[in-house]
Order: sequence, then structure tokens, then C-alpha cells
Amino acid sequence: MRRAVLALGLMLSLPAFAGSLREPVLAALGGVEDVPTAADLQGLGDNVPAELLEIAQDSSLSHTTRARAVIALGWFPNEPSRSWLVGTLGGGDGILARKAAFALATGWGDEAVPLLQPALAADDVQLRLAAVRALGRVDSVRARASLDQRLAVETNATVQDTIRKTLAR
Amino acid sequence: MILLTTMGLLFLGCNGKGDDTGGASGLQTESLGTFTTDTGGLTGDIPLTIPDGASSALVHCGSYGYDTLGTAWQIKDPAGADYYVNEFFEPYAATKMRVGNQDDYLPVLFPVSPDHDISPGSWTFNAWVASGGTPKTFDCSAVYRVDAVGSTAKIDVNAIFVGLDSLGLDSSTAPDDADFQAALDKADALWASTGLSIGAVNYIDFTGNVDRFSVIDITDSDSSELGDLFKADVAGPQRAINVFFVQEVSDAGGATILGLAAGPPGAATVSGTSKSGMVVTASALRDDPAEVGLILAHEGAHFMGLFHTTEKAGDAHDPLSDTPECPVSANTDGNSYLSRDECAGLDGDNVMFWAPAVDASSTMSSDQGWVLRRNPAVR
Repeated sequence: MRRAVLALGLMLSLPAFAGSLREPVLAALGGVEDVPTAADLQGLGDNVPAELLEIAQDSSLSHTTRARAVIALGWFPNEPSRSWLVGTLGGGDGILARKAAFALATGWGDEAVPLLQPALAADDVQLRLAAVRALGRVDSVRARASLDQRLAVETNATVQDTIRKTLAR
Repeated sequence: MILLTTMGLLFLGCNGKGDDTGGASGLQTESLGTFTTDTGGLTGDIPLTIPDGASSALVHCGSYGYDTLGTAWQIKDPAGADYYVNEFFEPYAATKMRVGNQDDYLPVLFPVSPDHDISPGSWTFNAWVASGGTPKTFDCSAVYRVDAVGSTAKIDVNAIFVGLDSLGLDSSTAPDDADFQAALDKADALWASTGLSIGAVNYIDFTGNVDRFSVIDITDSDSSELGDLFKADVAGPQRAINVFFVQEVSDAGGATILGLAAGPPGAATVSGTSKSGMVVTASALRDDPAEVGLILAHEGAHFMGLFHTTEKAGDAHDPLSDTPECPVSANTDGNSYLSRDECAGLDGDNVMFWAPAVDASSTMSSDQGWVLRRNPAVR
């Protein structure tokens, strides 16, 4: 009996590890038209950020599931996530890079502006558009200055139009 | 078996009103006229005549702008009885029908439940367009499905590829693309229990502004980008469902939406309106073609008249009698949504559950099939 109590105490004292939350986090990331919210995930426990990071990196999962995990990383800002998001922003995977732009803007606000600036000059038009929108969400003096500077050299009409609309808000 | 056809180009354009079904047999159209709302947003009576043998009717009105929402206010049957009234109508009485609040263009499909069928004769329709006291003027028309509805049916698909170079997917590659065909097969299999199958697939390249539309950006208050995509003049048959395959749909916070159908239900067989299609996020095609097929089946069913069996919070359900409803009380963990596990044994495995999954969602009901097979786009 004492051993059982001891074992239970040991179990309770061990930190939960990423992986144990896989199923509930994946369930929270579900929905076709309904996207997950921070509230959906916040109630699942302290290790949600670690699980989200694992899901975001798990190439056995679909890109859409990983993309939703990347967005959710912005709701739980920490250094491991920031580092991974910066790498993903420049990593060449279209949808994940776009999500990383939004997650950095959501999680780090004005601090993310210098991290997002390189994406404004990316070859991928959709990544440039995502960076514009992410900076629009930050909406700080530095973010708007970055958009102004990009507008001066941007050649794509859709990106130009999006920057103008973003700055006009 | 899925028939393969390669169609020509597609170009952006809006013909304003979209009441032409291209002379498709089995359909009748009726131009209902031009109407102006009063300061309360109501149109007054709009008469329509449902012909003998009609199995479904689609009334569609617009356009009235993306900044304005419209919905049905009251529908009266030939006996003068209320077939449907809006929840703000007094006295309100619930019926087996749901009509959403639609920006810019209003499609209203009925019946959407076998418990609430239609009869031929003179009907009356009233729209409510919430324009803040400013009268709105727009056209209304109707499409009637008048050919026979059997126990099996086919839906043709206009598959429109919008800037999917990164997936190597366009009208020339898709007919032989194993992943894309697997996605179509998945949708076909999910619909099979309803008697519905995919008929001809018309492969079409989108030639409008790919930069703008390959990632669709929407917010809670602005879905104009989606609506403008659906207005595209599709070089395919009108008695089909327009499926726009894009890189993704993204919300204001950047979150990926897996798919969206106009409406729902959408403006079936009506072209050139902001409610004339559905969109599927195709980014998972190479990882999980079955996911793309599931989205196609789910959104296609929305477009053709089905609603979620249970919504995310469990506070709303479809109007069908044979789809189990997962109640709010099933939310045993007290979080903000009902999971498939919590709805197991009810509708957790239904394709039209709010959060279906490839490995867990495969069922559809008899009533769901009844609705799908009556849609004007189906034959």
C-alpha cells in the first residue's frame, strides 16, 4: 500500500511530457470552418505549448493540422517556439511560413517586426502578403514604417494594394 | 465511376444577376422581379409559383453589398400557412428549415428536410435585408428542380484550380494526379450511402488574379474576397457544383479554414453571384488526400443544403429528424466545444459533424441523402 502511494506520488510529481496531450490537442485543432481558439487550448494543461510545437514539426501530420498548431504557438509565446517560428518563416514551406508570420505577430507584437521584415521581400508573393497582414495586426509605429518602406519598392499589384489597405485602416 | 472532362479557361466577370441556368433540362426558372426594401429592411410580398412536380426551389436575391446581411423573413405556402418565419418574426414558430444571414446575396433553398416538403402552387416570399434604415433595391429569381428524384443521383463537379503550382496541380495534371483522384474518390465514397455520387468532373484553370485568390483572406466582417472568387464566370456547365481548390482560406488571425461553402445552402445552378460556389483548402493534398476529399464532401453537402448535425458549442443542430443531436450536456470536460469523443454514439461520426476527421467520420443519414438528391444542381 505504501509503495502504491509512493508510486502515485512520484507520478504526480513528474512533469507531464509533450505527447500525453496529443489527442486532446489534436481534437482542439479540429473543425472544418471553425478554427481553434486560444480558449479551446488553454484549458488543456501547462504542456500545451510543447505539444503544439511537436505537432507543428510532425511531418507525419497533414499540413493543415500543422498550420493550425503553428498559429496556436502565438498564443503561448516562449523561446523554443520563437526560435522555431523564425526558422520556419524563412524555411520555404509556404503555408507553415505564412502561419509563422502570424504567430510571431500574435505572440511577440512589436518585437516581431524585425523578424517579419525579411518576409516582406520573399520571392513567394503569398508569404509577402502574409507578412503584410501580420504586420498590420501588430500595427505599431515600426510595423507601419516597415510597410511604408516595402510599398516604395514592391512591384506586385496585389501586394501593393494590400499594403495600402492595411496602412489605411 | 468519375467521368473526366477537360474544360477551357475561366475568367473573372460578374453578370450582375445570375438567373440563367443555361437552359438545363430538368430545371425551370422564374424571374420574380426587382424589389426595394422599406426602412425596416423588409421587401414586402414576393410571389412565386412552384410548378407541378417540383422537388426543390431555390429563391435567390441580390446583390445588396458585402456590408449588408440579408435573410428570409417569411415564406407562405399555397394554403397561406407559414412555411418558414424568421426567429424575430412574431409570432415565431420553429419549422424544419434553417436560413442563414448572408452578405451581398441571399440564396434560400427549400425543402431542407423530408419533414417539410413543398407543394406546387402560389407561394409568397419575404426577404429581410438589414441595411440600417437605407432601402436596398435588388432582383429576385427562382430555380425549380422539376425532373424526377430517384434513390440514386449524380452531381457534376467543376473543379477550378486557383494557383496551385506549388502542388503541381492544374487542369492538365489533375485528371492523372493520383492524390487528387484519391480525394475525389474519398468524397464519392462518403456520399455513397446517400445515393449521391460524383458525375462528370470538369477540370478548369482559374485565370483571374491568382495572387489575390490562391490564399483567400476573410474576417468576421469581410468575406468579399471569397464572394468575389465565387462570382467568377466558370466555363463549365451550370448544373454542377463549382469547387474552387485554393492553397488555403485564412482568417483574420491567420488560422487556416479547411473549406467554406457559399450560403449554406449555396446558389446552386446560378452563376456569377457571391454565393455560386465553394472553396477547398488543398494544402494537405500531398500529405493526406483523404482530408481534401473529406472537406470536399463536407462543404459540398453544405452547398447542397445540409447543415452541421451539431455545431461546435452544441447550441444548434440541423433540421433533420434522423441525425442524432449531441447536446450541450455531453460536454463532460467543460471546455468550449463538443468533441467527436463526447458525441460518440450520437453524431460524432457523421460527415456533417462540425469537426469531422478522416479516420472517424464516415456516416450520413437517410434524411441527409433525401436533401442532397433534391438539390437543383443534382441530376
